[in-house]
Amino acid sequence: MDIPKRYTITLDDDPSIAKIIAQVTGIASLPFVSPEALLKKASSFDPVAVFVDVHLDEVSGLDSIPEMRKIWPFAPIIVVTSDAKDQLTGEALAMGANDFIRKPINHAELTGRLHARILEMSSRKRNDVIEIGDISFSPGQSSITKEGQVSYLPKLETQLLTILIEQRELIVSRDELKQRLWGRIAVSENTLDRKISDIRKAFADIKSVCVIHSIYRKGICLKFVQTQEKPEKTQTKSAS
Amino acid sequence: MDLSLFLDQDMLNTLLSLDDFKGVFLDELIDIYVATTPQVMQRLIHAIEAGKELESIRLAHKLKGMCGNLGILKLVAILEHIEVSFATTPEPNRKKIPGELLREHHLSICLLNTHWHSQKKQTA
Repeated sequence: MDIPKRYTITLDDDPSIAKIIAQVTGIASLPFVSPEALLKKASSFDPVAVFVDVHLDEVSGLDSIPEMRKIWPFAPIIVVTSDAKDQLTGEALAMGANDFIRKPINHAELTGRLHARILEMSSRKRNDVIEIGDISFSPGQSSITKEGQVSYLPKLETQLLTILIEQRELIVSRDELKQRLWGRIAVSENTLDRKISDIRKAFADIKSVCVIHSIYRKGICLKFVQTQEKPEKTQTKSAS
Repeated sequence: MDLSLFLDQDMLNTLLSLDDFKGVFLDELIDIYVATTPQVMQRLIHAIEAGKELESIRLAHKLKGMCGNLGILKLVAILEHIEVSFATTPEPNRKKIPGELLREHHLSICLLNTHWHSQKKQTA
Protein backbone atom coordinates (compact mmCIF):
# COMPACT_ATOMS: atom_id res chain seq x y z
CA MET A 1 0.00 0.00 0.00
CA ASP A 2 1.46 3.39 -1.02
CA ILE A 3 1.09 5.78 1.86
CA PRO A 4 0.52 9.43 0.93
CA LYS A 5 1.89 12.24 3.09
CA ARG A 6 -1.50 13.25 4.49
CA TYR A 7 -4.25 10.70 4.76
CA THR A 8 -7.20 9.48 6.75
CA ILE A 9 -8.03 5.85 7.49
CA THR A 10 -11.44 4.32 6.80
CA LEU A 11 -12.51 1.12 8.52
CA ASP A 12 -15.58 -0.04 6.60
CA ASP A 13 -16.57 -3.21 4.76
CA ASP A 14 -18.16 -1.13 2.01
CA PRO A 15 -15.31 -0.15 -0.35
CA SER A 16 -17.11 2.92 -1.65
CA ILE A 17 -17.04 4.70 1.74
CA ALA A 18 -13.28 5.32 1.69
CA LYS A 19 -13.61 6.62 -1.88
CA ILE A 20 -16.44 9.00 -0.96
CA ILE A 21 -14.59 10.27 2.11
CA ALA A 22 -11.44 10.87 0.06
CA GLN A 23 -13.31 12.64 -2.72
CA VAL A 24 -15.31 14.84 -0.34
CA THR A 25 -12.45 15.79 2.00
CA GLY A 26 -9.74 16.01 -0.65
CA ILE A 27 -7.49 13.84 1.55
CA ALA A 28 -6.63 10.27 0.51
CA SER A 29 -8.20 7.61 2.70
CA LEU A 30 -6.57 4.24 3.33
CA PRO A 31 -9.30 1.57 3.31
CA PHE A 32 -9.47 -1.31 5.80
CA VAL A 33 -12.29 -3.83 5.98
CA SER A 34 -11.47 -5.45 9.32
CA PRO A 35 -10.27 -4.08 12.67
CA GLU A 36 -7.76 -6.92 12.91
CA ALA A 37 -6.05 -5.95 9.66
CA LEU A 38 -5.98 -2.29 10.67
CA LEU A 39 -4.72 -2.79 14.24
CA LYS A 40 -1.97 -5.09 13.00
CA LYS A 41 -0.45 -2.22 11.02
CA ALA A 42 -1.77 0.70 13.07
CA SER A 43 1.45 1.69 14.80
CA SER A 44 3.08 2.41 11.43
CA PHE A 45 0.36 4.93 10.49
CA ASP A 46 -0.09 8.55 11.51
CA PRO A 47 -3.52 9.47 10.09
CA VAL A 48 -5.16 12.90 10.02
CA ALA A 49 -8.37 11.20 11.19
CA VAL A 50 -9.96 7.77 11.38
CA PHE A 51 -13.46 6.89 10.17
CA VAL A 52 -15.02 3.79 11.70
CA ASP A 53 -18.12 1.88 10.63
CA VAL A 54 -20.12 0.21 13.40
CA HIS A 55 -21.43 -2.96 11.77
CA LEU A 56 -18.57 -4.77 10.12
CA ASP A 57 -18.75 -8.43 9.12
CA GLU A 58 -19.73 -10.14 12.38
CA VAL A 59 -17.84 -7.63 14.56
CA SER A 60 -18.44 -4.12 15.81
CA GLY A 61 -16.07 -1.38 14.74
CA LEU A 62 -16.76 0.33 18.07
CA ASP A 63 -14.83 -2.38 19.94
CA SER A 64 -11.60 -1.42 18.23
CA ILE A 65 -11.85 2.30 19.14
CA PRO A 66 -10.17 2.06 22.59
CA GLU A 67 -7.16 0.37 21.00
CA MET A 68 -7.04 3.00 18.23
CA ARG A 69 -7.25 5.77 20.82
CA LYS A 70 -4.17 4.38 22.58
CA ILE A 71 -2.25 4.26 19.32
CA TRP A 72 -3.46 7.65 18.01
CA PRO A 73 -4.22 9.76 21.08
CA PHE A 74 -4.69 12.93 19.03
CA ALA A 75 -6.28 11.68 15.80
CA PRO A 76 -10.00 12.43 15.54
CA ILE A 77 -11.99 9.19 15.44
CA ILE A 78 -15.32 9.64 13.68
CA VAL A 79 -17.94 6.90 13.64
CA VAL A 80 -19.86 6.55 10.36
CA THR A 81 -22.95 4.35 10.29
CA SER A 82 -26.38 3.90 8.75
CA ASP A 83 -27.68 2.49 12.03
CA ALA A 84 -30.37 4.83 13.32
CA LYS A 85 -30.29 3.70 16.95
CA ASP A 86 -29.91 6.71 19.24
CA GLN A 87 -27.89 4.93 21.91
CA LEU A 88 -25.08 4.26 19.40
CA THR A 89 -23.93 7.87 19.61
CA GLY A 90 -23.41 7.56 23.35
CA GLU A 91 -21.70 4.19 23.00
CA ALA A 92 -19.34 5.50 20.33
CA LEU A 93 -18.36 8.55 22.39
CA ALA A 94 -17.87 6.40 25.50
CA MET A 95 -15.49 4.16 23.55
CA GLY A 96 -13.31 7.18 22.73
CA ALA A 97 -14.75 8.41 19.44
CA ASN A 98 -14.84 12.18 18.87
CA ASP A 99 -17.85 12.42 16.61
CA PHE A 100 -20.59 10.60 14.78
CA ILE A 101 -21.90 10.83 11.19
CA ARG A 102 -24.89 9.04 9.70
CA LYS A 103 -24.89 7.32 6.30
CA PRO A 104 -25.60 8.18 3.57
CA ILE A 105 -22.88 10.71 4.17
CA ASN A 106 -23.89 14.35 3.97
CA HIS A 107 -20.87 15.95 2.34
CA ALA A 108 -21.05 19.33 4.07
CA GLU A 109 -21.52 17.63 7.43
CA LEU A 110 -18.50 15.39 6.82
CA THR A 111 -16.12 18.23 6.00
CA GLY A 112 -17.52 20.46 8.75
CA ARG A 113 -17.19 17.83 11.45
CA LEU A 114 -13.78 16.68 10.24
CA HIS A 115 -12.34 20.20 10.31
CA ALA A 116 -13.82 20.91 13.73
CA ARG A 117 -12.40 17.71 15.20
CA ILE A 118 -8.97 18.23 13.65
CA LEU A 119 -8.82 21.68 15.22
CA GLU A 120 -10.03 20.37 18.57
CA MET A 121 -7.51 17.54 18.69
CA SER A 122 -4.61 19.75 17.50
CA SER A 123 -5.36 22.14 20.31
CA ARG A 124 -5.50 19.27 22.79
CA LYS A 125 -2.20 17.96 21.44
CA ARG A 126 -0.55 21.34 21.97
CA ASN A 127 -1.92 21.86 25.43
CA ASP A 128 -2.23 18.51 27.16
CA VAL A 129 0.38 18.44 29.86
CA ILE A 130 0.64 15.98 32.73
CA GLU A 131 2.33 17.42 35.79
CA ILE A 132 3.77 14.63 37.81
CA GLY A 133 6.50 14.55 40.43
CA ASP A 134 8.81 17.40 39.52
CA ILE A 135 8.24 17.24 35.76
CA SER A 136 5.70 18.27 33.14
CA PHE A 137 5.15 15.59 30.55
CA SER A 138 3.53 16.39 27.20
CA PRO A 139 2.72 13.19 25.28
CA GLY A 140 1.59 15.26 22.31
CA GLN A 141 4.91 17.06 22.04
CA SER A 142 6.91 14.06 23.28
CA SER A 143 8.65 16.25 25.82
CA ILE A 144 9.43 16.34 29.52
CA THR A 145 10.14 19.66 31.17
CA LYS A 146 11.56 20.75 34.51
CA GLU A 147 12.06 24.40 35.40
CA GLY A 148 12.40 25.45 31.78
CA GLN A 149 14.72 22.62 30.79
CA VAL A 150 13.23 20.40 28.11
CA SER A 151 14.11 16.91 27.03
CA TYR A 152 12.49 15.31 23.98
CA LEU A 153 11.68 11.65 23.61
CA PRO A 154 11.18 9.52 20.48
CA LYS A 155 7.69 8.14 19.76
CA LEU A 156 8.02 4.71 21.40
CA GLU A 157 9.75 6.11 24.49
CA THR A 158 6.89 8.63 24.79
CA GLN A 159 4.36 5.80 24.66
CA LEU A 160 6.37 3.83 27.21
CA LEU A 161 6.55 6.79 29.61
CA THR A 162 2.80 7.38 29.16
CA ILE A 163 2.10 3.79 30.26
CA LEU A 164 4.46 4.04 33.22
CA ILE A 165 2.90 7.34 34.31
CA GLU A 166 -0.61 5.88 34.00
CA GLN A 167 0.49 3.09 36.35
CA ARG A 168 3.00 5.04 38.44
CA GLU A 169 4.13 3.42 41.69
CA LEU A 170 2.86 0.09 40.31
CA ILE A 171 4.94 -2.64 38.76
CA VAL A 172 4.14 -3.12 35.09
CA SER A 173 5.25 -6.45 33.68
CA ARG A 174 7.71 -6.47 30.82
CA ASP A 175 5.30 -8.60 28.80
CA GLU A 176 2.54 -5.99 29.16
CA LEU A 177 4.90 -3.21 28.12
CA LYS A 178 6.11 -5.14 25.08
CA GLN A 179 2.54 -6.03 24.11
CA ARG A 180 1.39 -2.40 24.37
CA LEU A 181 4.38 -0.98 22.55
CA TRP A 182 5.01 -3.51 19.82
CA GLY A 183 1.80 -5.58 19.71
CA ARG A 184 2.46 -8.97 18.18
CA ILE A 185 5.98 -8.18 17.03
CA ALA A 186 8.49 -10.19 19.05
CA VAL A 187 11.20 -7.98 20.57
CA SER A 188 14.11 -8.82 22.84
CA GLU A 189 14.45 -7.75 26.47
CA ASN A 190 17.38 -5.59 25.36
CA THR A 191 15.14 -3.56 23.06
CA LEU A 192 12.84 -2.70 25.95
CA ASP A 193 15.85 -2.00 28.20
CA ARG A 194 17.24 0.46 25.67
CA LYS A 195 13.95 2.39 25.66
CA ILE A 196 13.93 2.50 29.45
CA SER A 197 17.53 3.63 29.44
CA ASP A 198 16.65 6.48 27.05
CA ILE A 199 13.92 7.70 29.40
CA ARG A 200 16.29 7.52 32.38
CA LYS A 201 18.79 9.59 30.41
CA ALA A 202 16.08 12.15 29.62
CA PHE A 203 15.22 12.37 33.35
CA ALA A 204 18.90 12.79 34.18
CA ASP A 205 19.33 15.52 31.55
CA ILE A 206 16.80 17.71 33.31
CA LYS A 207 17.77 16.50 36.81
CA SER A 208 14.35 15.06 37.59
CA VAL A 209 13.60 13.12 40.75
CA CYS A 210 11.60 10.56 38.75
CA VAL A 211 13.22 7.16 38.67
CA ILE A 212 12.44 3.98 36.80
CA HIS A 213 13.11 0.78 38.71
CA SER A 214 13.63 -2.56 37.01
CA ILE A 215 12.43 -5.21 39.41
CA TYR A 216 13.86 -8.63 38.69
CA ARG A 217 11.24 -11.08 37.34
CA LYS A 218 8.45 -8.62 38.11
CA GLY A 219 8.66 -5.68 35.79
CA ILE A 220 9.18 -1.95 35.64
CA CYS A 221 7.99 0.76 38.03
CA LEU A 222 8.05 4.56 37.84
CA LYS A 223 8.58 6.30 41.19
CA PHE A 224 9.54 9.69 42.53
CA VAL A 225 12.12 10.52 45.11
CA GLN A 226 10.09 12.89 47.26
CA THR A 227 11.69 16.09 48.47
CA GLN A 228 10.43 18.32 51.28
CA GLU A 229 10.63 21.47 49.21
CA LYS A 230 8.64 20.04 46.34
CA PRO A 231 5.92 17.58 47.29
CA GLU A 232 4.57 15.27 44.64
CA LYS A 233 1.73 16.67 42.64
CA THR A 234 -0.27 15.00 39.92
CA GLN A 235 -2.73 16.77 37.74
CA THR A 236 -3.70 16.98 34.12
CA LYS A 237 -4.15 20.26 32.34
CA SER A 238 -6.26 20.18 29.24
CA ALA A 239 -7.32 22.83 26.80
CA SER A 240 -10.72 21.24 26.32
CA MET B 1 -41.11 5.67 -15.64
CA ASP B 2 -40.56 8.34 -13.01
CA LEU B 3 -36.87 7.88 -12.19
CA SER B 4 -37.10 9.97 -9.05
CA LEU B 5 -39.15 7.20 -7.41
CA PHE B 6 -36.23 4.80 -7.76
CA LEU B 7 -33.12 6.96 -7.56
CA ASP B 8 -32.38 10.05 -5.50
CA GLN B 9 -31.49 12.45 -8.31
CA ASP B 10 -30.17 15.12 -5.94
CA MET B 11 -27.77 12.71 -4.31
CA LEU B 12 -26.47 11.46 -7.65
CA ASN B 13 -26.03 15.02 -8.89
CA THR B 14 -24.09 15.85 -5.72
CA LEU B 15 -21.81 12.86 -6.35
CA LEU B 16 -21.37 14.03 -9.94
CA SER B 17 -20.41 17.49 -8.71
CA LEU B 18 -17.54 16.03 -6.67
CA ASP B 19 -15.41 15.74 -9.79
CA ASP B 20 -16.86 18.78 -11.55
CA PHE B 21 -19.41 16.69 -13.46
CA LYS B 22 -16.75 14.73 -15.33
CA GLY B 23 -18.51 11.58 -14.20
CA VAL B 24 -15.37 9.55 -13.51
CA PHE B 25 -15.97 9.41 -9.77
CA LEU B 26 -19.64 8.46 -10.07
CA ASP B 27 -18.73 5.80 -12.65
CA GLU B 28 -16.30 4.35 -10.15
CA LEU B 29 -18.97 4.21 -7.41
CA ILE B 30 -21.47 2.59 -9.78
CA ASP B 31 -18.85 0.03 -10.82
CA ILE B 32 -18.17 -0.79 -7.17
CA TYR B 33 -21.91 -1.14 -6.57
CA VAL B 34 -22.33 -3.46 -9.58
CA ALA B 35 -19.29 -5.52 -8.58
CA THR B 36 -19.92 -5.88 -4.85
CA THR B 37 -23.66 -5.88 -4.15
CA PRO B 38 -24.73 -9.05 -6.04
CA GLN B 39 -22.71 -11.22 -3.66
CA VAL B 40 -24.21 -9.57 -0.57
CA MET B 41 -27.67 -9.81 -2.15
CA GLN B 42 -27.23 -13.55 -2.70
CA ARG B 43 -26.13 -14.04 0.90
CA LEU B 44 -29.12 -12.05 2.11
CA ILE B 45 -31.57 -14.07 0.03
CA HIS B 46 -30.08 -17.33 1.30
CA ALA B 47 -30.33 -16.06 4.87
CA ILE B 48 -33.99 -15.06 4.38
CA GLU B 49 -34.85 -18.38 2.76
CA ALA B 50 -33.07 -20.28 5.52
CA GLY B 51 -34.99 -18.32 8.17
CA LYS B 52 -31.79 -16.88 9.68
CA GLU B 53 -33.21 -13.67 11.11
CA LEU B 54 -30.12 -12.13 12.67
CA GLU B 55 -28.02 -12.84 9.59
CA SER B 56 -30.78 -11.39 7.38
CA ILE B 57 -30.94 -8.22 9.48
CA ARG B 58 -27.15 -7.84 9.46
CA LEU B 59 -26.86 -8.29 5.70
CA ALA B 60 -29.86 -6.06 5.02
CA HIS B 61 -28.16 -3.33 7.05
CA LYS B 62 -24.92 -3.76 5.14
CA LEU B 63 -26.68 -3.67 1.79
CA LYS B 64 -28.77 -0.68 2.83
CA GLY B 65 -25.55 1.27 3.42
CA MET B 66 -24.20 0.29 0.00
CA CYS B 67 -27.44 1.28 -1.75
CA GLY B 68 -27.82 4.45 0.30
CA ASN B 69 -24.52 5.81 -1.05
CA LEU B 70 -26.09 5.99 -4.51
CA GLY B 71 -29.57 7.02 -3.41
CA ILE B 72 -31.30 3.82 -4.52
CA LEU B 73 -34.57 4.67 -2.82
CA LYS B 74 -36.87 1.66 -3.29
CA LEU B 75 -34.23 -0.89 -2.45
CA VAL B 76 -33.21 1.06 0.64
CA ALA B 77 -36.87 1.09 1.74
CA ILE B 78 -37.21 -2.70 1.38
CA LEU B 79 -33.93 -3.30 3.21
CA GLU B 80 -34.95 -0.94 5.98
CA HIS B 81 -38.19 -2.86 6.31
CA ILE B 82 -36.22 -6.11 6.73
CA GLU B 83 -33.90 -4.50 9.24
CA VAL B 84 -36.62 -2.96 11.39
CA SER B 85 -39.41 -5.50 11.31
CA PHE B 86 -37.91 -8.81 10.30
CA ALA B 87 -37.72 -10.24 13.75
CA THR B 88 -41.45 -9.69 14.17
CA THR B 89 -42.68 -10.35 10.60
CA PRO B 90 -44.46 -13.74 10.35
CA GLU B 91 -42.48 -16.16 8.22
CA PRO B 92 -45.14 -16.72 5.49
CA ASN B 93 -45.07 -12.97 4.73
CA ARG B 94 -41.38 -13.11 3.96
CA LYS B 95 -41.74 -15.35 0.93
CA LYS B 96 -42.25 -12.46 -1.47
CA ILE B 97 -39.23 -10.53 -0.24
CA PRO B 98 -36.41 -12.34 -2.13
CA GLY B 99 -38.16 -11.83 -5.48
CA GLU B 100 -38.80 -8.19 -4.68
CA LEU B 101 -35.18 -7.69 -3.68
CA LEU B 102 -33.80 -9.30 -6.81
CA ARG B 103 -36.13 -7.30 -9.05
CA GLU B 104 -35.24 -3.97 -7.42
CA HIS B 105 -31.54 -4.76 -7.38
CA HIS B 106 -31.54 -5.65 -11.07
CA LEU B 107 -33.54 -2.52 -11.85
CA SER B 108 -31.15 -0.34 -9.85
CA ILE B 109 -28.16 -1.61 -11.85
CA CYS B 110 -30.00 -1.02 -15.16
CA LEU B 111 -31.08 2.50 -14.18
CA LEU B 112 -27.67 3.51 -12.87
CA ASN B 113 -25.89 2.21 -15.96
CA THR B 114 -28.29 3.65 -18.51
CA HIS B 115 -28.94 7.04 -16.90
CA TRP B 116 -25.94 7.87 -14.72
CA HIS B 117 -22.85 5.93 -15.84
CA SER B 118 -21.04 8.32 -18.18
CA GLN B 119 -19.38 5.54 -20.22
CA LYS B 120 -22.21 3.01 -20.34
CA LYS B 121 -25.12 5.34 -20.98
CA GLN B 122 -23.61 6.39 -24.30
CA THR B 123 -23.52 2.81 -25.52
CA ALA B 124 -26.84 1.72 -24.00
